[in-house]
Amino acid sequence: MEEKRYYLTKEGLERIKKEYEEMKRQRRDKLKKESPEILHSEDVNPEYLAFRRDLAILEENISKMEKVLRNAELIEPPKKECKDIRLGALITMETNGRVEEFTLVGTMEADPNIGKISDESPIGKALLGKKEGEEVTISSSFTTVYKIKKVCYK
Amino acid sequence: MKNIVDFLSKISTLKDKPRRGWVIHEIEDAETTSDHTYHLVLLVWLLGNKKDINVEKAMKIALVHDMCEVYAPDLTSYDAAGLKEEGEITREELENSTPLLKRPTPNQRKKMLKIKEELEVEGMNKLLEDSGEDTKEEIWSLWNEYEKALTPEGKFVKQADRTINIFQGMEYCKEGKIEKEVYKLWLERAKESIDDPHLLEFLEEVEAKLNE
Repeated sequence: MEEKRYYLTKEGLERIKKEYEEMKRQRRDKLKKESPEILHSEDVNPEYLAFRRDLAILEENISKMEKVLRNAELIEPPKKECKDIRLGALITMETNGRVEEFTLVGTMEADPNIGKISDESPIGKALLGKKEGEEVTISSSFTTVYKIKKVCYK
Repeated sequence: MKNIVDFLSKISTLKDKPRRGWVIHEIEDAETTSDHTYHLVLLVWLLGNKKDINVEKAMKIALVHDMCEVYAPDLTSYDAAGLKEEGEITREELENSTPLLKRPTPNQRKKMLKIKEELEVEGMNKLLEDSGEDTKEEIWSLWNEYEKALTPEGKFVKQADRTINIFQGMEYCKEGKIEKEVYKLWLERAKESIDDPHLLEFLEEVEAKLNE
């Protein structure tokens, strides 16, 4: 099965790489320390179990980060002026009289707290490929219309 | 064993701490941080089983995700919306600002998140100071996964946290404690911030339940 691609900006890719290095450092530090004895009296030593558990979580996280890095695809801003919404676009939208700015990013970088919307979210999916001046409608039990007022790339 | 007893005593305070977002909406007998955590752990367990993730770890992340609130304030986006737009803000200004029931600007959010992070790290340090090395290391590691949301489990719990809030909002809306127009705005925002297919499917059902 084909592995999922992870679309990242340069900044996002650097953050992942930094995190990956930090996880490897933690693993090295843990392995440098002497492993606790397996047995404590006749029982399994709880410190040994904690050591194994922490190490297993680190290994698992490192392996997941490696998968992301192996399948990372860098989002490059378009070379010419572009009014289409692609990954990395900074979009000014109007909804219900509110004007807000969002950046469309891949799922690993999405953080709605700072206005970064995932291209896999319902709104992200609907926006992808649309142009400045167009409208996007999201319907469920109610309808929301998003007017795309401006599209630019930094 | 004493450190575990002491740790659980500290955590007990979360059973009586009403969630600030609901308090700002003037909901009486609002759910507490513990109520919210319990619901979240269940959601993570039930939907996590449908995903290729380490469900046990994800449940633990959910258990610890708001633990710092034993000492740290439960700041919401409404608190951010009450902050001034220009210049830096201090902790005192954040503590004394009046929350506004509207969406904050990215700038207001950034300012609040910076202080919120500092307060939460301090809260976590205080909470874990005598909890024993193993407990401390594990909880820190799980909490970091939640905060950074880079591992599949951390990311899933972060989005499940928003999702369970929408679920609770639906319950309050059905009880007439939240206006439907306000609730629609939350659903709109959820469609910006959630991209996990299972959580999105769950939200569709929540929306349908509201309209039953």
